[in-house]
Amino acid sequence: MIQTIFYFFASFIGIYINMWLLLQIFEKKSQFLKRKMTKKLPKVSVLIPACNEEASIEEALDSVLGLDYPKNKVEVIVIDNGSTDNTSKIVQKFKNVKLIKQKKPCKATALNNGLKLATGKLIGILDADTLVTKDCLKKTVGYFDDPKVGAVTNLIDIDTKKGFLAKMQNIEYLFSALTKRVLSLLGSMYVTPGTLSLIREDIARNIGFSDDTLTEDMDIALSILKRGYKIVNSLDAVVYTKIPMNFKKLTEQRIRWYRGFIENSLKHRDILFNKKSSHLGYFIIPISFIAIFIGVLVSIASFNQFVNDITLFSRSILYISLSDQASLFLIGIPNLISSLLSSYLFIFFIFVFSTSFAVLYFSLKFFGRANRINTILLPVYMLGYYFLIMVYWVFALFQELFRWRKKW
Amino acid sequence: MVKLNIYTKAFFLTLGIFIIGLFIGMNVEKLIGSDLLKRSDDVERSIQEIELEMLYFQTLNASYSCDFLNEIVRETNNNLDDLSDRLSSYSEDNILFWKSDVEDQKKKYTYLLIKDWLLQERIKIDCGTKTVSVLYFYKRKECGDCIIQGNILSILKNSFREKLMVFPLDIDVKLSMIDILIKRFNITSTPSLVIEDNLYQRIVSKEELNDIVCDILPGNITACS
Repeated sequence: MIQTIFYFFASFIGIYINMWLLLQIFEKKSQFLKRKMTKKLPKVSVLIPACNEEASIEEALDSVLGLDYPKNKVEVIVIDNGSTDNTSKIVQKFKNVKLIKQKKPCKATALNNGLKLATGKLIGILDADTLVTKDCLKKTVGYFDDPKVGAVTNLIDIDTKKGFLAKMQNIEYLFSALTKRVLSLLGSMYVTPGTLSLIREDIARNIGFSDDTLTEDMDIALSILKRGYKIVNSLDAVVYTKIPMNFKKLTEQRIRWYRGFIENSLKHRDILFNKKSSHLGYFIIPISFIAIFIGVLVSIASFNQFVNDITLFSRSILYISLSDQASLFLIGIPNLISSLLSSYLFIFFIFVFSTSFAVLYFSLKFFGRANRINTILLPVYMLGYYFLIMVYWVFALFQELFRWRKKW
Repeated sequence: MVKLNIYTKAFFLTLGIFIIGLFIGMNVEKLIGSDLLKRSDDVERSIQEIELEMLYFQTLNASYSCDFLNEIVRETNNNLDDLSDRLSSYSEDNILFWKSDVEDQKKKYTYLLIKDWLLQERIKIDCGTKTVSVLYFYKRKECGDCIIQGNILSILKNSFREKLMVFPLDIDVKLSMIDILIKRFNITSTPSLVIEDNLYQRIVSKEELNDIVCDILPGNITACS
């Protein structure tokens, strides 16, 4: 009975989140691609922390230096934080790029060191594995005409769509871009990633970058929001980021992100149910935690069921041959189907699944990207990739719980 | 201030979808209930028919029409197997509104099964029918070995057909007759098999079970060759 109640609750939450997102998308679709151009072009200091980035730093620098923006108004500072490869040598080839060397391989310290040298009115943060499009700066600086805007982020696209993992991440990034736009329109954008996110210089100096969490980009974003500033997401300023192309790298990245999310939510817990933080504190962070909690429990229950099935199967093959097992399976299919069709779990799973599908589909459609995604991949993404993501959440949660050593 | 509009709209939409889900589920449950009821009524009718036939022959001292009785028994067994399949595919965890109805059906099924077993034992004696009866005691929950034993019995039932009569008895069904049988055969664990009065309180492998059945059955049986 407890199990049934839990699955009912989980389905309700799942459908509610999907409905909320769908309504937000329908209501705010006209504002999605609203542009904010300006004639004022303030000086921008782009900080690029780099640790062993010899493979990508040159391309990243070429793209920043090629920005369609007055050259005297772009200051590029690379902070080599503990590289043991040729990163510094490559950077030194660029005459108009300032280089700082630090021994500590810490991104937050690198950004703080970069800040000391920066002279721009806006601080841009760029990861060394990210490429910017020519007009991306011009499309974002305009938002700072509003004195309430503390930071602006871009639309993050991925650099390759080849391979299964890349295709899955492509859907994820497109969906995430739209979610970020919705969050931004609700004043709840809670991350300023290293994809040429711009922060007002005085705010960046006041807050500074901290290394006490794994994701300094969420830390500073929450601090900006707490100071009463808005973070805006621009959907037409595009940057390309390199994505993990194998499971090992994806695992490392996701566990770091999700541990960072947990750490920052705890560090900035005063934002929860705080009148100033509105949507973020009252709904987005609490519902995210509820969804994560549900996902983690479902993943653990599924894993437990999987282990039980494997144990039973391995014991079963001692008594029943594989061919007999196969014929038993075939005989049992009608029973399996009627059992499935008669379960509430299945009915609600269909509802959660179809509303999730609708959210994904409409978000990509309004975004003008539906044609870039093979619709058949959407169910695969929802059934396979979601589950993988939940597994990462389980790991992140346990690592945080048992205070495992952090890996940046 | 939080804009409640979309939150409230989303809540009512979710509630609507949820109510639709519950409504569909409730109707599926209702269908299951009536399907089970129909099937168990069919089985009950067949058993009553056997009883009536036997009573008729005994009362009027007439000789049994064994072929006729065996035919009804075969049909009853098929219906019971069917009912058993249906009952096993509906997990109690998924039943919300008609739980007691399904539980009642399970009790009724067990009752009919025991009655069928007793009638068949009687027909076996009176008609000299050559079949092997297996009373299979199992638990639905927390008994992985019961699943294995159940599967072994299904495989053998497929090869011996009507020569092998399996009567699966869930020991958790609250029926006094189950307690009587547990006491009578001294069942202390599951899975347990009672084959022609011999008790096996462990998993009996397919090969061993095959040998036991073949030893009991006379003549040339394809499954034994």
